[in-house]
Amino acid sequence: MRYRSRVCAGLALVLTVAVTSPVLAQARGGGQGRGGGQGRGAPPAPAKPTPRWPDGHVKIGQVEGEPPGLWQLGGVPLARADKASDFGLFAADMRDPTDPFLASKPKLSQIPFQPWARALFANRVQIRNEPYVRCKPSSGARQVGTAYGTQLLEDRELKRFYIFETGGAHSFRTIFMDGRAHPANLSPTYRGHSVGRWEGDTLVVDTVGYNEGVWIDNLGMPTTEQLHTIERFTRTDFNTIRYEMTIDDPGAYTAPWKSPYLMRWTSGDESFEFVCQDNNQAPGLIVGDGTSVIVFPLYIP
Amino acid sequence: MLRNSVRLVFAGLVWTMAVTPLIAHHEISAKFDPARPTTLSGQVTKVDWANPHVHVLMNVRSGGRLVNWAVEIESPLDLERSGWNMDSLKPGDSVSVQGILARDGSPQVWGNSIVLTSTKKKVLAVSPEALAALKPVASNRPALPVPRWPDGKPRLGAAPGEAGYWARPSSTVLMETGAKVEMDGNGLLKDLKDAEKVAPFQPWARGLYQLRQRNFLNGDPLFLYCIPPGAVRQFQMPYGNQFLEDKAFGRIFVMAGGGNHEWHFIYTDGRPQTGELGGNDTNPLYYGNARGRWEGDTFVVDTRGFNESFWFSNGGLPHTEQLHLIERFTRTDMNTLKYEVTIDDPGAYTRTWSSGWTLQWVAGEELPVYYCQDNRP
Repeated sequence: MRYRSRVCAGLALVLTVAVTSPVLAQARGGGQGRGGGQGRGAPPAPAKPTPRWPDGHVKIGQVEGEPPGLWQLGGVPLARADKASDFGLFAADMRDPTDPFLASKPKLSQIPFQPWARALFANRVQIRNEPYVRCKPSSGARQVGTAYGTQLLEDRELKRFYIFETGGAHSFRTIFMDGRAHPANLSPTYRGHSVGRWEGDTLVVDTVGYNEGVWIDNLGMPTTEQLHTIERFTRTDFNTIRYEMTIDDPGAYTAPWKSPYLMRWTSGDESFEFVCQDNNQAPGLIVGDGTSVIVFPLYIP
Repeated sequence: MLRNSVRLVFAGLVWTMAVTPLIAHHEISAKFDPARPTTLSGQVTKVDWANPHVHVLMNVRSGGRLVNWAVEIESPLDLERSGWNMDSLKPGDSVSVQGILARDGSPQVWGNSIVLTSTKKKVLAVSPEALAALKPVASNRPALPVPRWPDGKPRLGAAPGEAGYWARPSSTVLMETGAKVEMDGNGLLKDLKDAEKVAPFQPWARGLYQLRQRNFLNGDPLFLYCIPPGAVRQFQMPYGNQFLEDKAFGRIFVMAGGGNHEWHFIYTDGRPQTGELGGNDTNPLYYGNARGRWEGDTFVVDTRGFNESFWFSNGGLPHTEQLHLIERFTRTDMNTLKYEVTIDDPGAYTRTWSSGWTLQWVAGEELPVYYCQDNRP
């Protein structure tokens, strides 16, 4: 039982890379949670209005008096496929979105790739070696779209906004809401340096300082150290956030571009312990034992 | 076999010859042999500026051919705190390295010093200030009082408008209160015969502890596989922790600076961990099923449901799934968090025993962001 459960978790981790819909992650994440199955299979209740703080500001996380919940991102790819084979071995969702917001998601042919970035992307969708499945932290839409859901938490006292992921690296991102600027001379990192502010009802998160190892989606849209992202979170009702990421990276793209998503509140779920390293399906890739497809001979611990 | 610019100096097994690593997040002697110092001269081919430790790759001429060596040094965070960055040393630079050789005979050294040939100056050395940043800081000023919530309870985290986190543990090793045993900062015994004084081990547990010690802690899953520092070990880590008290929802986020920069819950309303991985006896956890409550000004955390896949402390003390911890956190002033732990594991120890240390508030600084997983492929 115990091992089966871990294997399932690990398998789900790998599988969520391949699926463009979060259905599997939702199903697993809600598995044995108390109240985790609430509402599933039943007709959806009309959404309650956007929750707000007493001062009128939008409340983006949990709401007192309501059951705990998690946010799930609908689909992780940054682009829509023009044809089913565009995403290589990944299943591409070829349906046209009915929501006008989602319909503005660019097709792959509309992404302003630089030639090298287009070639690298084509290679990545074939190789399927996402850092996420080797327990590396992801950023942008990939972090927000981590399997089993994310918790958004605004600490208004300390002027910080946090995104806690359940699956993946089971890590978190700190977004400074105190008006500070990005520091000069940032060392490139997976999560970069994020500052945020409210623009009306929209939380705007500005991030720079990424390394080139990070993936911002599950297909491997290439990025460089020049990457600058702007993420906009708008909670339009109790159960929905319109999330939009702008990718501004003159190292990989000829123009800035953006990709929209809908995030759904899953009531009754709460994050649980998830240790990717516990049952990773690719331990050779993690420690580089010299027998795996990626040979990393020098740093064997 | 190794000649010319690779000089192997076997210096009579003298520890003092090999400068003991300064910070190092795991036991350096697990991988490298302090009794086998060496000097390498050659050209840098790559600087891998990644956690857990930076590696400088260099070509060294040996017997007419080039061998690519890996020189392991401290972590990016500690080097950046020392004023260095990923461009401080570049491919093509000629350097001379003093270090200690890997035990397995592979072309790896722990670099005690790197000298740039062109300037004859040391590069990528950890500064005294960076070293001090990880150790408790003495202050002669009276500490400010404990910050409190409106309900009067001490704040485990920062007060409004302030930043900070808990780190700089007064001890990074685990032994029973009152035991007098010499160890290094990673819990490696100076004298293996002291093993039985460390804790009331059952015979099998003492044997396993001694085996881990004889192997210089080289089986440590935290080091090998980036497995989380669960149980007491999280409060021995160099990059500290932050508590985020989510009072309205009966939970505290415990956020780690290091490890894999992960987080876990302590529930304060008695509820068990929810979700797929239940923290029960069919699926024990790395951080266990942690439930906390206030006893006066002390926050008491009762945790069961640990798995056996990790080392629960620096030094490799064994535990079983029967491990039950009672941890008491008391913020005695603004800057001090007293940590007391009672270890109850009838699977590994003959009786319940206790230990403790203090953590210091690192005021005005943000929790470091460190991913052990960084330099793995």
